[in-house]
Amino acid sequence: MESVLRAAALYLVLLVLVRLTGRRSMRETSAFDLVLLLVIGEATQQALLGEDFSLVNAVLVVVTLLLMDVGLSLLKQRSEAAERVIDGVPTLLVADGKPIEERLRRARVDVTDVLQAARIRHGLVGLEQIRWAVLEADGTISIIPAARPGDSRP
Amino acid sequence: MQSPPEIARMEGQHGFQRRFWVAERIGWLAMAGLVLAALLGLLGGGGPLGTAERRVEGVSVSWARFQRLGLATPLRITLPPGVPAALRPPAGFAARWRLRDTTAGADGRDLALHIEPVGAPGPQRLRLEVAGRMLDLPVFVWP
Repeated sequence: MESVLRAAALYLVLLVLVRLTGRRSMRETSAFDLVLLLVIGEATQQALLGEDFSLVNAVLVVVTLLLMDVGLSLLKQRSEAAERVIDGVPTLLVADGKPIEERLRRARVDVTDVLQAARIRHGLVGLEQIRWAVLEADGTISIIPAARPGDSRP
Repeated sequence: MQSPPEIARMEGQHGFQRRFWVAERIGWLAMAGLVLAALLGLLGGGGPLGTAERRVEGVSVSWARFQRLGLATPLRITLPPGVPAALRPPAGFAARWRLRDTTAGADGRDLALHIEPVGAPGPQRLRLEVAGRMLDLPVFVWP
C-alpha cells in the first residue's frame, strides 16, 4: 500500500512543480534539461521505492505512475477545465506584427524567441511578416505569417 | 480586422491564463519559501533553527527538533561527572523510534546516538531515560 501512495503522491507533486515552473522550462529540451531530468529521476527514486528494492515494488510503482497518467488523460478528455489546468492554454504573443509585451514578459518569452520560431518554421525575418505568434500549451511557438502583397488574406 | 475563430477562442481563454500566471508566481514564492525553510533547518536534515538544547537535572541534551521519517538524526547527551551512562528506552519507544547506534566519548560522559523516526509523521515526543533522568523532547517528524 505504501508504494502505491508514495508513487501517487510523488506523481502529483511533480505534476504541480512542472506546471508551476511553466512552459518555458520545457519549451525546448536542451542538454542541460536532460541532465536536470536525470537528476530529478535520481532524487525521486529513493522516495518512490523506499527501502524495498524488490521486483514487486518496482512493478507496483511503475503501474501506479502509468495508471495515474491514464487517469489524468481520461480526466482531461472529459473535462475542459481539467485540461486547461493540467495542460494550460495557448497564448497570443504577437498580433498583426506587434508584440504584446506584457504577455511576452509574463510568459518569459522574448521577441528573439518568436523571431527564431518564425525564421526556422517559415523563413521569416521580421515581426512585420508575422500576423500571429502563439505560445502553445506544449511550449512551442506557432507562427501564422502575414499575407504577402498579392496574397488573398484569410 | 476579423480574427479567425481559433484566435478568438484563444483570446477568450486569456482570463484563465492571467489567473494562472498569478498562481504560478505564488507557486514560485512557495518553492522559494520551501528552500528557505530547508536552509534554516525547519524541514530536518540540519540547519541553524533545526537543533534544540536542554538541560535536565545536570544532563545536557542536544537534538534535532525537525526530523524526517526514515532518516537517522544525531542526539547528543552530556552526563554530569561520576554518573554512569545508562540508557533505558520507555515502553512504546520501538514503535516510534529506532536507535541506530550509540557512541560514547573517552570519559564516558559524552554520548552520541543516532535515532530514526519510524512511526507516524507529525508532532511526536522522543522519550528516553538517561542516567535515571527522563528526557521528553518535542520533535516534529516530516514524512
